[in-house]
This record gives sequence, C-alpha cells and structure tokens, in this order.
Amino acid sequence: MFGYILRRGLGAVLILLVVSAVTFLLFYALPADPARLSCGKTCTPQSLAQIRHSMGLDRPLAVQYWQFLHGVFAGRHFDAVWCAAPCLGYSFVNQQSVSSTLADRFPATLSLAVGASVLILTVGVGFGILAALRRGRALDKQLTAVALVGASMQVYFLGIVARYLLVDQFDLLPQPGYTGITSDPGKWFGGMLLPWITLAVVSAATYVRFTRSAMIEAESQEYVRTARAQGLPPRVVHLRYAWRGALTLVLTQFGLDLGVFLGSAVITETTFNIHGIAQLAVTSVTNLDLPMITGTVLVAATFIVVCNTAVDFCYALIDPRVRL
Amino acid sequence: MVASVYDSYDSNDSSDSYDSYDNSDSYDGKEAAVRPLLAVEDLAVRFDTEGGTVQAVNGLSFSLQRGRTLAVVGESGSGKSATGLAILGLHDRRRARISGRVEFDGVDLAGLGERGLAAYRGSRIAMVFQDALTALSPYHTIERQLTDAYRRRTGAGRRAARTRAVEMLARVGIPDPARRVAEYPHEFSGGMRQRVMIAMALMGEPDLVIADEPTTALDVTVQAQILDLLAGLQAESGLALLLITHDLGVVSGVAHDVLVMYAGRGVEQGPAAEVLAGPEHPYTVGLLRSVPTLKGDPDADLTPIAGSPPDLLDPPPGCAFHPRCDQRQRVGGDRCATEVPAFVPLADSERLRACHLASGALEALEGSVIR
Ligand SMILES: Nc1ncnc2c1ncn2[C@@H]1O[C@H](COP(=O)(O)OP(=O)(O)OP(=O)(O)O)[C@@H](O)[C@H]1O
Ligand code: SF4
Ligand SMILES: [Mg+2]
Repeated sequence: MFGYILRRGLGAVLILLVVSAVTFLLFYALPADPARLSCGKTCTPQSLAQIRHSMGLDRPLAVQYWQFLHGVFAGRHFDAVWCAAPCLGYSFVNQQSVSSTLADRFPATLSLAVGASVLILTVGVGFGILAALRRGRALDKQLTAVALVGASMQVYFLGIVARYLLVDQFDLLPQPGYTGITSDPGKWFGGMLLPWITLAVVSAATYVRFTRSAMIEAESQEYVRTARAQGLPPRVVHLRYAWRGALTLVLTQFGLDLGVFLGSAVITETTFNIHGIAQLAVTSVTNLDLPMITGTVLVAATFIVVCNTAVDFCYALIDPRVRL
Repeated sequence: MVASVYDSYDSNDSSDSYDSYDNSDSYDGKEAAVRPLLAVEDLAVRFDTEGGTVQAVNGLSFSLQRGRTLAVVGESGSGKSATGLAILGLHDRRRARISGRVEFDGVDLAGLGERGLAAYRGSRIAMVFQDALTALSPYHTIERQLTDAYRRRTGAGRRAARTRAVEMLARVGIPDPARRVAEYPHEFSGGMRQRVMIAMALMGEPDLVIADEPTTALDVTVQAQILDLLAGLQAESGLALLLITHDLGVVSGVAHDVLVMYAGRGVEQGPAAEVLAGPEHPYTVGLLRSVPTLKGDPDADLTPIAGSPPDLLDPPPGCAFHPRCDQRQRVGGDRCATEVPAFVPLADSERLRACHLASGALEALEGSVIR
C-alpha cells in the first residue's frame, strides 16, 4: 500500500516533468514572439528587449526551463515581483502570477466536472441497469432510443438550443454562469444547472448503453446464477451480485473518459460562458501566453494523474483480486 | 458390492463412510415404497436460438428417493446440466422453454414462478456447481456469500449467521474456518473452494442436493476427497443427491442408481451396480468401453464411441443414437432410424431402457468394464 503510493507519486512527478518539458519545447518551436505581442503598439527596440529580458526569453531554453522548475519548488523573482513556490510563472499578458490565476479559475472547472460526473453516472448508470433488467421490453427500447438521440447530440448545439429555450424563452432555468460556491451557494447551483444537464444528456447516453451491456454481460456470469440458486430475491441478485461485476467495467470506462471530458470542457465552458481552466487555456494559446499555457497544461495533467490514481484505488476497493 | 475406483485413495474426511455407498442393502424395504422426494415427468427443455430450437432435454422422466444418490451420466451436450437447472427453474427464462412436471415433495416446481421457486432454492434444494471459481462471486467474502440467503430466510443476525457459516465450513473439512470465512474465493485452492460450494449448499439443510459435475474441475486425488465428502454428508443427513457427471468412475464409487442420457433422453436406468456390470443399452456399453479402469489392462479395449453426439437443432429420426450404433443391423427392418424406442422397464427388474434390441442380446463385456 505504502509502496504503491510512493510509486504512484514518483510516477506522477515524472509525468508532470515530461509534460512541462514538452510544453516548453513546443512553444519554443513556434515562430511567434510572445514578447512582441505583449509589447503593444508603441514598441521601441529598447522596451522589446526589456520585456524579453524580464520574461526570460533572452536566455537559452534549458536555462528557462531550469528557472521554471526552480520557481515551482523554491519560488522566484520576476523583476520586482516575488512569485512564491509553487510558482508556475508570471503572466505578462494578465499581469498576474499563473498560480493565482489558476486558483481563481479552478473552482469553476471543478464544479462543472464534479457535478456533471455525478449526474452522468447516476443517470447513465441508473437507466443502464434499468434497461438491462428490462431488456427486450418496452422500457429498454425506449431508453435505448433516448440514449441514441442523446449520444448523437453535441454540447454546443444542445447547449445553445437549451439555453435559448429553457432560459431565454421560457425562463425555466437561471442564466448559466459561475458564481463562487462560498459567496452564494444558491446562485452557484442555479448557474451550473444548465451546463450540468447538457453534459449529462450528451454523456449519460453513452453510459446508459455502456452500463446496459456491462450489466447484461455480468448477468450471464455463473456466480449470478449461484446467487439465484440460493433463493436470493431478484433485487439482491441484480444489485448486489451482478452489479458488482458490471461496476468494474463501468469504472474502467469512466477512467478512460476522464481525459475526453477534460477535452470537451473547452466547448462547455465557452458555450456557457464559464471562466474555468479550459477557457483560460484557450485564451492563453491565442495570446501566446507561455507561462499560462504551461500552467493550464500542468493542471490538466495533474487532474488526469490524480483521477487515474483514484480510479485504481476504487478498483482495489471493488475487486479484492486487485492488489495495489 | 461395487468396489470404488477410488479405494486406493486415502481420505481423512470420512473414510469410514465408504460402507454407506453400498448400493442396495441399506435402502430397500420401507424407503422404496414411500413417495419419491423428486419425480420428474416428461421434462423438456428447449432453447430458442438463431439457428432454431435446441431440444436439450426431450421427454425425460426419473425419480429419486430420500437418502439415495442418482447419477446422471452422458457425453457432453446430452442435457445433464439442462436437466439439473430445470429442476430449480434456473434457466434464463427469456431463452429457455421448459415443460413437463418436476414434482418435489408433492409440489410441481415447473408450475411455479420465480417467487414460488425462491422458497425452495437453497433451502430445500441446493445446487453445487462444477467450477467453484466462477460459480462463487469474486467480489464478496465467503461469509457474505454463505450467509446472505440464510439470513434472509431465517432472520438470523449477522453473528449467528457467521457462526453457522463457520460450522458448515468446518463440517466440509476446511481448516481454520473462523479465519477463512472472511476470505475471498480466490484465496482458496480448487479443492477447498469446492468444499466452500458444498458448505454453501448445506447452509439451508436441503433435502436434495443437485451437484453438477462437482469434481470435474479438480485433480484426481481431490476429486476422490470431494466425492467422499458428499457421500459422507449424505450418509449423515439422509439427503438425496442428484449427481451429474460424465465420469463412470464417479458413478461406481458413490451412486446407488444411474440414469444414462443421450441427446436429451434417458436411454438406460437402474441400480448402478447392475447397469455397470451388465449394461443393456449399446450406448452404455460404448461409454463403458471408452473409460480406463484401475483394474483392467490399461491399454486393452479402450475404444471411444465412433462418431459424435447429434446436432440437437436437428436430431436424427428414430433412435437418436442410431448413426453411431454398432448394433442396429441386429434390429429388424429400419426401425432404429424411424421409430423412437420407448423408455420402458425390462422384464422382472427395476431397470429401464430405450432400445429396440431384445433384452439380454448384448454379449457380456470383457475386461474393460468398471467392476
Ligand atoms: N442457454 C443455452 N442456449 C442454447 N443452447 C443451450 C443453452 N444451454 C445449453 N444448451 C444446449 O443444450 C444442450 C445440452 O446442454 P447441457 O449443458 O445440458 O449439456 P451437458 O450434458 O451438461 O454437457 P456437459 O457435459 O458439456 O456439461 C447442448 O447442446 C447445449 O449446446
Ligand atoms: S434402438 Fe437401435 S440404434 Fe438405438 S441403441 Fe438400440 S439398437 Fe442401437
Ligand atoms: Mg453440463
């Protein structure tokens, strides 16, 4: 157990090092000059050189990377500004340290991800189990049809239509947007409702289909027949015995999908005007804001590593044959 | 007495219970006259598949008394498991159609729904499956799997149920049961796992245990131990045992009676000792010729039955065994290929058989038969 955590932790550090190095390299390979962009209209050669120096762009790439790493662990200076560890850099575009920008934006993305995941899993898995248990009957066919329609939807399309109808036309839901959960929980919930529902409709559909087939597969296992042969009522047979087998499959799928969800967060945040990490990543790329790009990429990578570790832990909890 | 092929294995479980396997002497008289515990009549199991309807069991009848062991034997695909599952209605109801009567203690189980059957499953009739590794849930502890149904049925508390599970594990010879009850199936060896399955079957003190190839997945020494265990438990508690197997060695070791199945039908039935010593059906003869014995010359007379079991989607007309039968020329005309032989008693005996050949026409088998 302890060994596992240690291995996982070292692995994560290694992954993050590689990710940050690759981000640096990619950015360096780009033909654009970020100093030129933040210099503005009245740019003199002197001020350009000044900016380039304070951004650290006049030093070799290896040195820049080293300074970055040093900042992460020990903090560093940007001219007069002190950026405390873990310092992911200083955005000259935003005139703000990367860490504090990320800290500002992260809760919005986290709210979106956690809320949508909960909804996707409960709705998708719940209806998937229901469809499996009623397979071949009317309810199964209806659920499968709805799931098919849902899965063919796109977040931006559904989001825009739903927003127009449910919010603008009929006023059934509050305007989407992010409010801090601590400042106004009610407003936070209301603003997240439409994004959550939209994401759930699009992704839960896949989970309905996936859970349905995982459950049907599990139902055919011999130990499920043993449970029946013992005289256990159907509810226990399905939900305690068969479902445990299906759960591992669903969890595997969810682990794989986390990365995909992260990618689709870009579209979701843009569609619903939520200022989260994904939107920050998009603007940073447009502005060639290297420190900010590195920061968002590292946050995304950390998110994936942490989630995968959590999924592995869940595996070990569900299946006693899995050793950590 | 029919000597067991397993005589040479020493088992510490219940070595003294061997005497009780003796086929006839302790169970005739009063018991035989009593209404059978289980009477299966004209049982049919059909599976609807894309290729058509599979006739897995086709008009099967047999009965079983308390305290007796009936072995059901036959090649793979002959409908043995389908029969065992049909008794408790365990087939997937979406795919299987079951007809006929399954009378257990006066009640027709085939007429009961899932809810009605639940009252019998695990409590009065218990199943032991072939491969305990797949038949036990890998996700739940032994305690959970042994006590779940028991607690529901008896209302016992967690601790009481656990105590009972530990008792049952001890009874089937699992060392250190109080500790092992908390473990998972994968932490047991194959033989121990099969004992756990048997302990599970004993939780509800059943009157009938249906064991579907309980030893097939195990190596020979462990097989003998498990059979000893089953026979010992039966002698102790007087339960009836329906033992499904394709191993004639198992039959000679533990069964009182034997039912030989071919293509979903019974072809020969009777006291195990008599059937094995003097088979009356060409298929039984074929089965006996194809098994090695400990006593006979190992290289002699080992001849598998020619051909392969019939396609149950399109079984042959007449006697299903006729394409493989070396005796059919001795039957007049083409009766074997046109007329289904009735499963009827042989004159002056408890034995039944389905063959057009005159009784006693089969020459005595030499050497290779299990004796
Ligand atoms: N669920 C099912 N769907 C379709 N056909 C089935 C199903 N279960 C069994 N069968 C068919 O029914 C026939 C009898 O099967 P059964 O499992 O009873 O054989 P068996 O005598 O137990 O053989 P084995 O020794 O291999 O266990 C076989 O031909 C099998 O293919
Ligand atoms: S009825 Fe004919 S084919 Fe069938 S077993 Fe008897 S002799 Fe052989
Ligand atoms: Mg079978």
